[in-house]
Amino acid sequence: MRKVSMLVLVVVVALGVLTLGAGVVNYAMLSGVTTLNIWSMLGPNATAWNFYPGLVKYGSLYGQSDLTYQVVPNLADGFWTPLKKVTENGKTLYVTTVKLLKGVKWSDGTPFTADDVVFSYEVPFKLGMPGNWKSALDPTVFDKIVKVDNYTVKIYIHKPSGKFIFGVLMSTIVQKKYWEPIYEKALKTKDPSKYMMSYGPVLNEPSIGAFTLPKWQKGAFLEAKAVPNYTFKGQEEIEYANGAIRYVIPKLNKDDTYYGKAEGKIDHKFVTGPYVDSIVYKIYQNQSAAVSALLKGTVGFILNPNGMQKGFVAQLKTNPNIKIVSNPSLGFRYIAFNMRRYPMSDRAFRVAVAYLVDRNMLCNKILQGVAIPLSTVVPPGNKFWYDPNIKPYGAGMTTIQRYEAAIKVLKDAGYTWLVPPKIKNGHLVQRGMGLIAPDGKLIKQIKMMAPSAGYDPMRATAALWIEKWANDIGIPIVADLTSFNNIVSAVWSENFNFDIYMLGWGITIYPDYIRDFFYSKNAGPGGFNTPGYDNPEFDKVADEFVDQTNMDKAREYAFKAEEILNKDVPYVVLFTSPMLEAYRTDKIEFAYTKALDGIQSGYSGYGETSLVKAVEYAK
Amino acid sequence: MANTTEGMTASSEIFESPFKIKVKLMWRAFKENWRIFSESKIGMLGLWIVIIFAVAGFVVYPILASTIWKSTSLNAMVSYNPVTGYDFTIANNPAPPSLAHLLGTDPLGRDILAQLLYSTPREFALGIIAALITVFLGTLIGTVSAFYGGVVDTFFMRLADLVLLFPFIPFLIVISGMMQVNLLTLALIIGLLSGFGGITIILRSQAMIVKVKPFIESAKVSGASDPYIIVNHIIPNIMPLSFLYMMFNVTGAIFSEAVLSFFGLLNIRMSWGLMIYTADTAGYIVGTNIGTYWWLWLPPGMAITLICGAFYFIGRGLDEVVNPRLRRR
Amino acid sequence: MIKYIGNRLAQILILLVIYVAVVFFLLHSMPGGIEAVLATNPNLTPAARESILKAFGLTQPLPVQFVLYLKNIFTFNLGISYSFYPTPVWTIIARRLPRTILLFTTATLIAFFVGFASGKSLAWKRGKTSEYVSTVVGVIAYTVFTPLLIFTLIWFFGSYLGIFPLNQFLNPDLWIRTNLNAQTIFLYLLLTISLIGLAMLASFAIAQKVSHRVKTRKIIFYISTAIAIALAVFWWAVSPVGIYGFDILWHMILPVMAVTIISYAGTMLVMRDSMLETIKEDFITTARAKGLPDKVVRDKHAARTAMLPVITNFVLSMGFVVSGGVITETLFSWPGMGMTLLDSVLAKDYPLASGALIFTGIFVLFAHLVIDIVYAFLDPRIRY
Repeated sequence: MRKVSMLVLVVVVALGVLTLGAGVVNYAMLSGVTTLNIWSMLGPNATAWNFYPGLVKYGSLYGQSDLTYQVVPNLADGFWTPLKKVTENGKTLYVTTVKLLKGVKWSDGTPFTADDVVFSYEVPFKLGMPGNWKSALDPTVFDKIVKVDNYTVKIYIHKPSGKFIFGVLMSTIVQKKYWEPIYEKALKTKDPSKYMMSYGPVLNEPSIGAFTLPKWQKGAFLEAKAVPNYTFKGQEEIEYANGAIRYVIPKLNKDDTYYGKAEGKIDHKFVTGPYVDSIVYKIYQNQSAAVSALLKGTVGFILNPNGMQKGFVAQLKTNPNIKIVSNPSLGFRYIAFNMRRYPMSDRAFRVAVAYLVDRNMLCNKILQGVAIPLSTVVPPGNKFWYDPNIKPYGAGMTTIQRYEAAIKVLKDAGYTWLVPPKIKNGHLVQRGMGLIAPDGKLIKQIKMMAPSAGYDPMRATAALWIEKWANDIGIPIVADLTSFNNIVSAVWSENFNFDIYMLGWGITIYPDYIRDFFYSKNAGPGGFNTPGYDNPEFDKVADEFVDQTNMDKAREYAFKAEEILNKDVPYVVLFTSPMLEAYRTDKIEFAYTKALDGIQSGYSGYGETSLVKAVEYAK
Repeated sequence: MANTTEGMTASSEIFESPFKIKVKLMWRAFKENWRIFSESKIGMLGLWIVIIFAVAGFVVYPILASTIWKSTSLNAMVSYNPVTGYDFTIANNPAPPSLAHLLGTDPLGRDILAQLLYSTPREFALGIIAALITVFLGTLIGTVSAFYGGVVDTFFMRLADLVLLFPFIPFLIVISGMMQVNLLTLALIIGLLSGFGGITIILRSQAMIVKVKPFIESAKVSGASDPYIIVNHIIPNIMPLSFLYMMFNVTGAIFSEAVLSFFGLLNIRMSWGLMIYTADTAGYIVGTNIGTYWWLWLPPGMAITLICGAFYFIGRGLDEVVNPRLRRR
Repeated sequence: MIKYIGNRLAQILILLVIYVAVVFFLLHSMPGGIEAVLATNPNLTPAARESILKAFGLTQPLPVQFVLYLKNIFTFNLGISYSFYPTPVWTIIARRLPRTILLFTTATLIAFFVGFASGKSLAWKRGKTSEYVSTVVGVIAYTVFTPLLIFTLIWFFGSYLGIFPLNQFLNPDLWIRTNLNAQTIFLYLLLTISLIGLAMLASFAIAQKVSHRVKTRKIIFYISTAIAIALAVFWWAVSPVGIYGFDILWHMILPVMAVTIISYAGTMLVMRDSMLETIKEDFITTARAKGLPDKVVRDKHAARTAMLPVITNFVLSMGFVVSGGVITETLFSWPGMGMTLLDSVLAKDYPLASGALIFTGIFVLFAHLVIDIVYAFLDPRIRY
């Protein structure tokens, strides 16, 4: 028996060594893939784990450039024509014409035409596919799509909106030839969209991307295979310092430059691959296992939307072949005030709390650098949309200066104390007690709900410190460390039953969430505007922002909105976590490692899969 | 009981009161049982471990927290709190054991020894509350079912069957994943689950044996009421067995808490399981980190094993007291 | 007898309905839930969120949902999972069940035999130092915090010695060359094990008939078992899929080792107690007085009688095999039933969580029935 098992071991190891090297990169994933069916993946099963391997096959008319996140044509030929107002059957609509690239082929050799585009827009829209489909092809924006000729489509929308660009024009495109027979069958069933979503596992579905996904061993691994005749192979993406982006596609004889002139300093230049024969996504069910596999060299990189904790980094640093990169993640943790209740409804009160939150102390000293201070709803890493002129309350102050500023704001607004806080020679010598509102009433205990250490030690810690800082100057905030579920149900299910709560958002590059989170009409039950922020000026600016289809103009409004929010503080943004990632330099080579939300961001929609290279195993 | 107290006031001057006799008898029985128990090496080992933990948690911790550790507290006016007690003087956390922190610090810079001791009374409370609920329910239901039989019996036995259907740990995971569970609710849930479950079946069969003994019959003939017989005759006779199971339940409760905490499912501020969870999610129990950062997982891991083992050992010692047949001749 | 079994079946059916009701309402009355998960996703517009809830069938009133659910269960339709939407729960369970059953049946069997053998000799060596040592070691193994044991095992055997695979249930670098479905291999492996088991049972029965001498019986039994195992190994060795089977078995060694260490002590301690009870019985004293060798008295007289409670324990734990070890499966990346349960709970996937619980419940009920029948056959005191 022992001999047999030894024999098996030898064979297994030998086979393992053979598969290494030959243009294969191995990734570790921390959770299984639940579906590869695009209808379901962009519907109820929208998980990062499904996206990593699942989205390699599909395309869209427009996309975003690597690293600079500018809107650029993908399968479209140049930009869309300006929106024109038309009236059809008494309805006012706006129409645009989009030209498609000629000569693009699916992996099975079928040419890509307007039929694919029309099919990919009409099916999910007509069937009312749930989830991301509905967000992308929002019925309040999208009306219909019409084929003009094989390489031209007309898109009709109800109103100009940013959603038109970031939703409608970026909606996913599938192959009509493959899906049409399935769609016809689906139409005969009781629930066509369910039929479409459960069809699968679609391993033979043709791809318009750099890879097909022919193998899926459930619960163990997936394999993506490079498309040999990939149309965009050899495409050069050149990003200039002046903001211009030039695309050279040799196979299609195209050379276009957008956003300015192709001149001056070049920031980045990417040449599209694929450079590997296949990508293997190995599924490990916990981070320790994936880290062990990385140490052993079984995988070259760990795909994880949340990054790594510092203990793993300490372990990985011991291996000279492993490189660790840190990037800010795309998201923020915040506290929200319930502006339907007093004193959170008072701007002075909120400003005082905002002054007290010493992010620098919290992130760098208390949390030992496992959090990155962040004070705005748009992080600085989102270069295009970040407003550099915003100055948050208390920026650059020490803790004691913050105490003084907060006390001053409260005093100026007419608050008094039973025992006022006293600061002498840069030290707090007397904690404030019994804060009294300008109307003479004692302010009762204010409950701040925050996740417990079991869910997120960082937020639990932050909550306890905010409680301490507030209590030091007499604001009676009590941190209530509770389960994530409890916070969510208090906020959304129990009709905003909270004083202050602390949670986090994962966000997108195009910041239309600014409007979603603070728009007065979203303050109803279940809405995103949890603080109940109601500012007509903000609403107007936010509307202007999302209705713009010219991004430069949209940015002006976004900045205005960001400034209003910074002044009114319905949220105090606290910090974001760094994306710590590690990869093996002897196995894998990335085109870029400095990116907002880390290397992994390139794997759910941007270009990294077609840029990654395998380091040859030869010695 | 009313009779005995009356008797005591009337005749305590002349005779030794029945109450005193009872106490004396109990004392004698206790001494005899203690002798048997103390002969069991394993039982004594368990007892000593429990005593050491109890002293450390209930006596040593409060003293240390309000003296030595106080300086590193979040606000220096109250005693040290191992949930918020970050030590800013240490540049790199987790720090290895040093004079300031005998068992080092955790990834957030909190004292491991303090966390360990702070959790001890809570673990005791959890285990003992859960076990008390279990044994109380089990004993009551077991005796009542055995005594009355019929519908009552069928109902509780089928209920026990139903409860036994739930896989214990997975079921607790489901519960704690969907509602907010803290130590007290956990103790309640574990107590109720085991109280209505297997233990009733075991205690019922024991009560069945007692029920047919002649002294029950004579008590009935002498006109004792049913509750009186249950409380005064049956329960005392199955008490030792209940007590034995109580020891095993303490172990079960503490272990369940550790497992649930390990998956981050409980809403508690500090416990041994949570200490391991913190070390694990921060990535200190992987590869050679296991050896390098031993102080993060070894103390709480040892504590869980020692306490669980100790209560089991006590149970084994009690077993010798309860089951005379097991005693060496 | 038949009437008794029929009676039990009816009781079991009623119990099952109550169990399903308890599970269903328990899971649906919890706060938070899938709505909360969706509400915190800013990429979903409220309309998009509503459309998902509608697809999940959550817009209907609770009692209606329950009646539908109950009706479906009797057609083996456990509903549709949220996190795998629109995959039926049953499909997910069917995919993961073989993995769990193979791993935990093997581990439970090994743990049972190790525990049985050590418990037997433990009772016999009562009072000696070796008894204390093995009791203490057993109790430590029994109470050691499972995740720590597993981490240490993985580190020692996987990383430090590097002789066992670290994780997962197969080696992707090997399986990438085949289009085989791992589930098929799992089923083949299960089939092989059941066939070996059947062969052992048959040879035992034949041995009983053929000879009255214990020794001959033993020889027949051992030889035929060895032949069955050799045949199975041979079949796998020559079959083209053999290497994949061995790969899976190879990945099973560490998890099985972990489960065995954790659970053998339970059987050992029960066996010891049960043996101690039996040893005091008169017939053992008689056997000893007859001058029979210790080993014969121990193995033939005492152990066999003492086995009953141990068997009960064994069948019960076999019933719970399907629920899997949540910890073992998670830490060894072995996506079986235990992990399904944990993941579904974390993802608020009620249908999958209750499906897994209900499925486990059915299995345990079945195990109860088996115990009743086994007792009816084995214990002469029970008559119906």
